[in-house]
Amino acid sequence: MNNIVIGQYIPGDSWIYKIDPRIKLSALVILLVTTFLLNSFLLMSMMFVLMIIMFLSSSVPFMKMIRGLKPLMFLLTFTFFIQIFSVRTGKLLFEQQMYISYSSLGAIAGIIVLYFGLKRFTRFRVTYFLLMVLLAFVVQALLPYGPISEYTFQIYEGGLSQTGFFLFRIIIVVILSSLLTFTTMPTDITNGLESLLKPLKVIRFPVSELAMMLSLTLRFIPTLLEETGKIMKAQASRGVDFNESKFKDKVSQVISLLIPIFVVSFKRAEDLANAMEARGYIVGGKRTKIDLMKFRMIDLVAIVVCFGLLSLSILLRTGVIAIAL
Amino acid sequence: MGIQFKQVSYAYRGVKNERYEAILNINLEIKDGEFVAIIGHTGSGKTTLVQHMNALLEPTKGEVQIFNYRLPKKKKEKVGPIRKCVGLVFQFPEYQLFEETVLKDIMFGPKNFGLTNEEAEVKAREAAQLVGLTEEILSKSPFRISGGQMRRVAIAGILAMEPDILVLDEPTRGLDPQGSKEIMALFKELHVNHHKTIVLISHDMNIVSQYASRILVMDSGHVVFDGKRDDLFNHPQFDAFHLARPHAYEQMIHLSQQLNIPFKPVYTKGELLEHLKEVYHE
Repeated sequence: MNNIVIGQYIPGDSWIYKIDPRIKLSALVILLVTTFLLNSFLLMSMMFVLMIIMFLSSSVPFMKMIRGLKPLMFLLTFTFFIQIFSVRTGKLLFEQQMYISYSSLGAIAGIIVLYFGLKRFTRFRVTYFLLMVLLAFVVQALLPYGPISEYTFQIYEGGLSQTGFFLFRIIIVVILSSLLTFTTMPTDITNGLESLLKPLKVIRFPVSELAMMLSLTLRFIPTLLEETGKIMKAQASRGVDFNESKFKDKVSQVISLLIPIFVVSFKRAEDLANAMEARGYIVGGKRTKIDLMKFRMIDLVAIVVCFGLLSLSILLRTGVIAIAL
Repeated sequence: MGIQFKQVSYAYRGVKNERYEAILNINLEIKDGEFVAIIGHTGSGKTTLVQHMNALLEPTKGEVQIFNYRLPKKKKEKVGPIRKCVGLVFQFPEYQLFEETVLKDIMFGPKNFGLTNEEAEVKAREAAQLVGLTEEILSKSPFRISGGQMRRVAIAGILAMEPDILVLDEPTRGLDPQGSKEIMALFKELHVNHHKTIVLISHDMNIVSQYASRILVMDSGHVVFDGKRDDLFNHPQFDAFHLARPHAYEQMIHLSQQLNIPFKPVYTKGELLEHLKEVYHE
């Protein structure tokens, strides 16, 4: 239970940590919009290089980011093949006769079995997965025996750049959003959000209450997890065992966890409400902050750069300016 | 047989995968029919120690033997049988209640260990009677009874599984004096009349000295004392354990220092009174 990290905040001290959370939130939105406005491979790769530079200078551990990309690996692989196969514009770069035959289908089945069989023993699962996918195509090229049908595998320039375009776009989105969560504490994010949404107070939208709810939710995740751990152990000593029981029993066993957790959380919520009221919290009342967010030079630079990128991308998109390809 | 710890250590893993040693190199044997109390200040590893007795934790080093089972277990071995032999009652066990009625909640444990509804109900009723729950309460919701009653229900839920060893983690915590007295009387009865081995964690020296036949003192992951109560409270390094003495014992020390009354270890008001009477008549 001790090794659960809430949020993904990594303590650090680079320039990106010093930016005001409000600016970081706005910058995230602006840069995301910019990324989706770009419409050519060249511009996207320029943006990609820019993001990589930003990431490297932020001193966030490289492996952490890679780990953040891992869940997307299947999506990325899938996009890659769809694009490669479907887009057929530009110069033909590579051509290979592929065979769907009894021998190659058999080999693919073998690869799938091998993949799941050996999965447990390897440490580099993503690399391993990619290797196996590649192998599945290689056998199609190499084993024409017992043919069923055949097709030509062609890679066009357009396909390749289109693929790169989409891959870069996905990776940029991931880098941007993880940079925010890696370098900003959850409480700072909620405070920033509260401050940004302040104008909505005019239309009586309960901004500070929403922010309070958010930060309380974040605050109580570890507490509830700890509580859950205790209850799980208590029920385990009454014979609940998720690994050793049948499916039918599992249903009632899940209930034996859920109900106590509900009871505990309601109890906690009630206690918390009383404690807050005892300390003078009034819903809708005016509150002051212990940490005031200050707008500094670095924030100004950051927001100017972001708006610069945004306006550049708008101008490029609308064709007011054009770069020679 | 009972429970045997051989060179057992357990380390928790922290956020950055660093190790926190909760218990270190524990050697311990608990025989059948003992009433053992484990004391020590917060964070000394008591709870970690007793969770091994129930196979909730597996030692990171060393070996625990519980009857015929060994921990760490082999890959596909089940821990169910261990949990049936050793019943663990957690701190604030009332949080584990969840069923619609008290009776159903007590039946939950036995049913998990493969008893039919009818068999489980028989066991549940027996256990309920043992802890002093009336027939009327059995049909109520476990969330609509008093705190003391809830704790009895939770304890009955463990007793219904008929464990040979009962491990109790601060069973009297948060109860009023009357409630804790009744609960302790219940454990005494289980020990004497039902021959259950009892392992009790407590901070209350009055309770520990009155009921336990053997006391273990833990300090930062080590067992620093293992023996009888007379030896503990007379121990030359007693102050190093950061423990208090029972009230009657303290008063005895005070009286013998102030009035030169001959010292004799006493643990309850009654014993103190008897001793004073004896001294007075001499």
